[in-house]
Amino acid sequence: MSDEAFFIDQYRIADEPYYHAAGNEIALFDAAYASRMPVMLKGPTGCGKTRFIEHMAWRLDRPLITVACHEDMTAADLAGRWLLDPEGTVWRDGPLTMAVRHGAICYLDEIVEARQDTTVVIHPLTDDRRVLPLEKLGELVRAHPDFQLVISYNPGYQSVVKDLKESTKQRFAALDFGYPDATVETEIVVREARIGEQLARLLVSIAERSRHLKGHGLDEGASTRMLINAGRLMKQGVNIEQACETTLVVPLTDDSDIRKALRDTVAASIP
Amino acid sequence: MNPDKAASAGQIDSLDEFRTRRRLADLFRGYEDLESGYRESHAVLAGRSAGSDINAWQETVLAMLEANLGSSTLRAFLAVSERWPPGRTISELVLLGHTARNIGRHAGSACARAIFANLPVSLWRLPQAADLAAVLSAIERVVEAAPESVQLVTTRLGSLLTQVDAAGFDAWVSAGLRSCGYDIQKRRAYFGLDDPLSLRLLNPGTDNFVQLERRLIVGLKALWDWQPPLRAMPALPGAPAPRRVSLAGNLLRFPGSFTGATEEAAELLYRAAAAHAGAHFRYSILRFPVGKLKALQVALVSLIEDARIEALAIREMPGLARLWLPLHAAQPFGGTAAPTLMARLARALLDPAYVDEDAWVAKGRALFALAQDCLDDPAISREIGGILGNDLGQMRVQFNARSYVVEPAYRDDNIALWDFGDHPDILTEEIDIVVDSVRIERRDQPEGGHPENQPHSGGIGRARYIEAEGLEGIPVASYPEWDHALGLERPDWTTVLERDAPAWHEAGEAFAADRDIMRRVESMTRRVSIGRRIREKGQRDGDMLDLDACVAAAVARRSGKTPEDGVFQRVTPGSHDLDVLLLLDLSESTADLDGNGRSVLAVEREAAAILAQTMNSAHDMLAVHGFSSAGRDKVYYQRIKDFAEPFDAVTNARLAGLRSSHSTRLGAALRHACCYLASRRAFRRVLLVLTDGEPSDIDVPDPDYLREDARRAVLSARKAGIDVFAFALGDSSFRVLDRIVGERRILRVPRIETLPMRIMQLLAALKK
Repeated sequence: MSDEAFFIDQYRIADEPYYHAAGNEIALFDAAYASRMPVMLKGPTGCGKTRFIEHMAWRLDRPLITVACHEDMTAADLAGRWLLDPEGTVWRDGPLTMAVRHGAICYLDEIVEARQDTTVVIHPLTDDRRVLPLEKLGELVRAHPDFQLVISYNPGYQSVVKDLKESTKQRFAALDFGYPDATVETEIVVREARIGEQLARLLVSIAERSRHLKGHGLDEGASTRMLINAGRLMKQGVNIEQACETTLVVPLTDDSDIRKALRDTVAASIP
Repeated sequence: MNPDKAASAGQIDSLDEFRTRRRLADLFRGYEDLESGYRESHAVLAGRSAGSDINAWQETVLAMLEANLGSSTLRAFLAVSERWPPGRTISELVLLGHTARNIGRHAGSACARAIFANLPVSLWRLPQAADLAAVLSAIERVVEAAPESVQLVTTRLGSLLTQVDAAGFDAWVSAGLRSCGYDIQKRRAYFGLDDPLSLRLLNPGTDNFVQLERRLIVGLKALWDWQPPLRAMPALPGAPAPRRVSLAGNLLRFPGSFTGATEEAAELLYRAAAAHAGAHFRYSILRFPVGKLKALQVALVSLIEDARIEALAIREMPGLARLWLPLHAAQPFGGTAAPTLMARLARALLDPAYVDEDAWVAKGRALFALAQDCLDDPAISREIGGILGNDLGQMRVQFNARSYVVEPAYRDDNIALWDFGDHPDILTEEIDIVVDSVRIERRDQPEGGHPENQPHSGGIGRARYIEAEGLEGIPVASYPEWDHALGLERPDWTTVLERDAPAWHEAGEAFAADRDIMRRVESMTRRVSIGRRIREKGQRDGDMLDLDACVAAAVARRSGKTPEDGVFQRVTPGSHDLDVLLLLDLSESTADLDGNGRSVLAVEREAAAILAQTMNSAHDMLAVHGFSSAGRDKVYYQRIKDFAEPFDAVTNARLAGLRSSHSTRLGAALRHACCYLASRRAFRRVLLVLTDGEPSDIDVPDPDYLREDARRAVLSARKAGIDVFAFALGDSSFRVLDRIVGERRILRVPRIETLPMRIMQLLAALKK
């Protein structure tokens, strides 16, 4: 047990993660955590969802266990599995079970990517029961009073086959994350990339134009994170065109026409 | 004498190599010039590469000798070998040699020589080894399937490869073989470049605009958040080529090409033109009434307005200056005709570094500079343009309104800025343009938009269609029909006439599915793997222990052996096998327009493209067939795409060539389609019917008869293990379709936009 307690401590966040509030999301999350309400963070990629939950975990002084969800993930990857060792079989808790036992916040990132027969595992934790049945172990784990489940969900990548069931969605309180407005976004880029305000504002204007293409050639426009990356490259002496090429144009699309159009956009924006 | 003794001195040869050299020595006996040519090439190659490559090359030479292709062919190969570029590998040379030899054996040594003559110069177009292999394999396919056309291809190889790259060449060959089938005449026409489809595939975008169109569309959306319909204004024979972009009629129309511009210059012109149009969209917020303005004043007000919007645009996006400035070529001298002065003024207003001493230009500059604080106000264009126009008039400067064209070339004709009202003094030119745009506007509205609804102006188009109609098809099968009143099946009652759907070749009217929809489909199907689950045991990783493997591992460990480490089992998505046959109703009623002005046939084409894309992403097989009927003896059945065929330009051409005619004898078509599906071996076989409603035919008065027969056909399909679904287009209740396929197997599609979602839902459900 103490091994595991030590293990959990590794997930505590020591230094404050910088987060610039866009609205009153911090107060709302505080309120939700007070009753251990499950929370869903909705928004496009690179908008600060993960940074936000890290900030809140630090603020609330809870360990944060993050699981990146993907299509091949199974319920055992979340809950745990039997392993074979020289003495015979041994049960190993999965990250969700660890969080449930030790009162951490479990953050399931991009939960839509996982299959529905995997995500159903979380249901008993999201209602008043707050239990995690482990049939293979024959144990019903009751959640630690400090445990909370948080998921992130990108509504943009919707597909008929990959979507959260209504019954799952409705168990969560949801906070909306979008691109911050230009002033806030500029501030974030200045702070995270350590570049001057004028350059940051230029990058933000380029991102805004790329976001016009959402649904018209791109799934998403440039995210705040991409701008921060561009800024960081520029800080190292890379010129702005090359920085945008590397952090925006090339990652956003493989389509050559759209890449050219994005390059035209970058060229038009810089003095 | 050993030809390559010098090179391999000190090396130990394998037995094969030794034999090869011996054999070569034997064959070369008596042909000293060939032998010396061989030695020279060998020396060059040996200097470049290691032993195994050289041996392969030697074997190629040997093979060529033994194939009896003649000494000139061998000499040609040796020459190519000697001059083989250092950047290319020897194995590519070997591949070239082998392929040429095969081609020579089947199509004659002249063809092989043609390849040696024409392919090496085009190597720069084939940067990867895979490209070279693709081109060679495409030629081999021609040798195999269309031997009479090989020479047509090999002699033109050089010029063909300047027009398309390896992939384009491959696609061109494939399309030719597929669309011409067994018809030798057609094949020769196609590969001899005497066929519109052939030319179209070789010149995917001679029109500069067509190549850039997508980039421009995306660029306009990004920079200005604007999505105007883009059109190319083609150069029509007999009429002057359109020279400037036009924004009239809420369309953005580009000249098909800018005369005299190189490809690179054209790209800049189009981009600059699009950006200029975008600036108008954002900043030209009102139209100027022509009132009593003279043509010269109109031109000048337009010029100032152009300068105004560009200045505003540059304030927001400074990079645009770099796009526009280089295209201003005016110089501060050269005559006093109005167009020259105006071009100089235009440059002066944009380029602060441009020096021009002319008083009028300087005045214009000064007035514009004074207005910098109120650039947002379009009225300044009217004011400044009016003043400057007056000045020019008083200076008696020559201005020919008829021949005036806005300079520089990237700027639009500015017609869209003006409100002509009922002004009687309108210049005739401008009237023509306005009327033209109205005419074009009407033509672009949905009713007029489709080839089947437009009267064909080209006699060629009409002739081709009739020709296709004349070929009704070959009788391939007869089927029974169910008479519900009598309660019995009449054997051999209907005859199915089958043929390949004719391809529609008219340039510019090829069918291509709506891009936005296709992009949505693509994003929906990406990364989706829907299929059966397969349990894999004995894995190194998995979510469950495989007990059998565990026990075996434990036993192994206790007996001191090394246990296998695959003790897990996992469940993975299985193979995807779904065979879908999409059956399109091609009867007369599909020409009817739905609420959005789209014909049912157009929706059916779109559905085929969407289904192909959806299934393409999910690795399943799709066939697309169509049917109509004229009585029980003539059930017309057309094959648009077979299961094994790719969905490509030829399929699109066939879809474009579909026409609505005759009636709907659904039952017979269903039975014939089921024959195709019955022979397939997939996990699930699905027949998807797209029809707009009632089965009916000219020789059947009883409305229920064919309905019941169709239902019967569906039931027997089900018994054979084939699932039948129907699409219900539009909002009608479709009780008829309910009766035929069953209510739970109807997919309601109220709007084409919902079609992708419906199809995905169906496929997901089928794969469970």
